[in-house]
Amino acid sequence: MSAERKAVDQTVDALSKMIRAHAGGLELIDLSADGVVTVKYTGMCAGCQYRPVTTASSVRPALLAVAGVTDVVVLGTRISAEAEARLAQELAPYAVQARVTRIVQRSAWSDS
Amino acid sequence: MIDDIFVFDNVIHLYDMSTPNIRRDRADAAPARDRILAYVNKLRWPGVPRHDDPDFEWARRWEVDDMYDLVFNSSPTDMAMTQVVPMFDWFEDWYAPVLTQHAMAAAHPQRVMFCGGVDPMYRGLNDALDQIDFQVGTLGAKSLKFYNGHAKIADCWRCDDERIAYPLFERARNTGIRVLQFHKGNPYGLQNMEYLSPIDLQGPARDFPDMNFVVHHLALPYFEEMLSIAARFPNVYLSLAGYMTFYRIAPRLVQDHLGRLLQMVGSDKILWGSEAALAGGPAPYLNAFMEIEIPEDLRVGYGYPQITRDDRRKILGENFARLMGVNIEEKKRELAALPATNPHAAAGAVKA
Repeated sequence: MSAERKAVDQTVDALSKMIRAHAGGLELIDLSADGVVTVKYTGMCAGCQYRPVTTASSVRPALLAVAGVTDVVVLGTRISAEAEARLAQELAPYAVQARVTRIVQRSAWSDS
Repeated sequence: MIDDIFVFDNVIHLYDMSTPNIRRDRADAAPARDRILAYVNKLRWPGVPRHDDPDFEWARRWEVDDMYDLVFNSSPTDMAMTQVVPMFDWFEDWYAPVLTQHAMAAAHPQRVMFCGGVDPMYRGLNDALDQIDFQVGTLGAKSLKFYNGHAKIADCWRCDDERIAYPLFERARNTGIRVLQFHKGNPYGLQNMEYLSPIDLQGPARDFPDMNFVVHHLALPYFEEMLSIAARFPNVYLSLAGYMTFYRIAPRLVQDHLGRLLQMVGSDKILWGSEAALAGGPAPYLNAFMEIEIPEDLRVGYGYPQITRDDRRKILGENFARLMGVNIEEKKRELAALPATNPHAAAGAVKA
């Protein structure tokens, strides 16, 4: 199943609105035929050392929840598999990913 | 090609370190030339028998055939940009002259692009502007190189000086140039460091969003500043420019820098640069770059990602090809149709 462009657009927009709290934003760069979403951070988030945390807690889980999305690539930042696992483990007790995904989905639906 | 990866070398120089090119009106000129040669003798890796010969004369004016042999026959390089170094302090015809760089590109237009260079402190701003017109319009320069840290403070200038630097960038833009390049960090001798800091590129990167700014040598020792600038400004790129020479001396440091670059800037904005000829032939550095890994303790402790084949492919050629408007697949077909002068082209990866 391929991801719908509209659903991805709406999710990126909803995430971007949330990220405005950081004086930054998120921009969709590409959605490939096999469901890989490429995004980049803008504003204050461009170049921020903490992009991996926002990616792991919000951007990645919310986009992976869109039907047909198989992977999320963030331009300009990447951390090791070991660091990703550590972040996931530390975030797990707070259910941050699930909460963000729910908020983003609600926001995306209300805009549609 | 190395392991089927297209190699577009961002920077080679046909230097003129010959005695006739040394300025006679500057007492510091000959010692500076000798200091540079001593420095590069230490950083250069062995691997090219002719150059490993202690009798090889490095204080020379590099000619086209020698350079082609070094970069393309002895190394798996597909394309290269030959760059002027407008360092006039100690050299009559500059450190890497306009004419030798242009000659290289003119002799091998399929493989070599010409990057011109000017300096507003050489004969003034108006002369530098005329030179941009000449080098782009007549000689076919595709990019321009700047060197704004000089031996005398009076000769130094800043990239964010709107009276001196901005007219150069505007003229370059008017001639169709979209890629500007800067030597940052790595002072030769006793120059003031601050003119080689990359912080003065933030203004131009902000004020010329349609231009791309390539910074050489990772601006060392200003690595953290450089990292922040390249991460924040979408039009700032980093050229490794001879950086792999340090891998033999401090492999851990190179892994650390590379890991941090991948983590904070991303492999889309890093360009391969060999700095041949003074750094020697590119082959051993290319082989080292293909083999370098980010070790486990750096991945765990600093969160650096492992370098992937995709990263290597982007860094070695794709990024610079995109910046310079080169279609790699078309270029491969064009190069394959050339007479077989590169024994490595068909062999794939080579070991120096």
